[in-house]
Amino acid sequence: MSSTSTQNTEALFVDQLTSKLTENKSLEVEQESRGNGPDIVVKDSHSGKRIFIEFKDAGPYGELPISSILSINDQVKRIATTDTFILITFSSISNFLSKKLKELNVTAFSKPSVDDVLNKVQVALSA
Amino acid sequence: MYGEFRVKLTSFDQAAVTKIFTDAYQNKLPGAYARSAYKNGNSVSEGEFCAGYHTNDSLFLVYMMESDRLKVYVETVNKKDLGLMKATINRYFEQVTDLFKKHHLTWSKPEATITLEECPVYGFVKTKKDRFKDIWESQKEKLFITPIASLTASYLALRINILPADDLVKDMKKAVILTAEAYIGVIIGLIIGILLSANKKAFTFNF
Repeated sequence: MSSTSTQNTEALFVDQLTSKLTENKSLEVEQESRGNGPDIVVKDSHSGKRIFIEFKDAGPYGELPISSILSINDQVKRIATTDTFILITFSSISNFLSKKLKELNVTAFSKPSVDDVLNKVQVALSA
Repeated sequence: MYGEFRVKLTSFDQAAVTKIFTDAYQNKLPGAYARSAYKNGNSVSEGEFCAGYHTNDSLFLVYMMESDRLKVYVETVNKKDLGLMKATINRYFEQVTDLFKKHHLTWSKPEATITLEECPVYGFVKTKKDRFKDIWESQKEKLFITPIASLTASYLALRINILPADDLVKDMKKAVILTAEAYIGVIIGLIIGILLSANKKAFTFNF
């Protein structure tokens, strides 16, 4: 998949996910512009729990480079222990990187469906 | 900004690979790790690399192999110079593949990436077919468009009576000679380009 088509897939995915998340009136959904922060932040207005959703793309390389863990680590350090961090990619994730993400309690999805992520968000908010 | 390149190794004996790097780089892993972004040890520990090397302006760290893939992390002190990162990746790639050659390790499928926050840059090594295509693309104007344009212009000049028939013949001869020269040039270019590709292994990065 080319970088542009991955970006289009990602943009469509973000729109669909944001749209479905906002159907739940008890959730506050913020979509961030590109930067150092996560791309989507979901907050349960009752419990105050937050879910940070980050998208990463490896382009034609096809696999997230292991050094992706560096920026993810920085972001995870900045969130509270009660918050959940979800990584979504349309590239693949090596076993080594997958192991490292688990150590950071990051839930990683490679090429997920919108429903996969919605389910995870619901489980994390109800935990 | 971080770089990574990877190759597939036909024989992937981790101990042998570690020894080759350690012998070649005098075990500079601790120094390279201590200068890298990984140095706090929170994400990837020193023990998860099999080798490393550093200079004043850059470093590389070789990850322990996963299956048959060898992955090399590249970092430059200057985090904003993309050109420097590309040159550094190619310098280390050349060193690593020279080392493989020296120790008769067969490698294939070289790929590289540079992570610029949200914008990955992809690098690949041009094959003979890619070089053939590049030369062909750069020369096809000379081979087809220029001679056709030249002949058409002469013909039109003749039709509207601003060029005598003798001059048209001269122009056509000139166009044929130029085309023949261009074809010879392309053939020589192809031979040199393809011969060079056998020795030149460097990543070309696309944006």
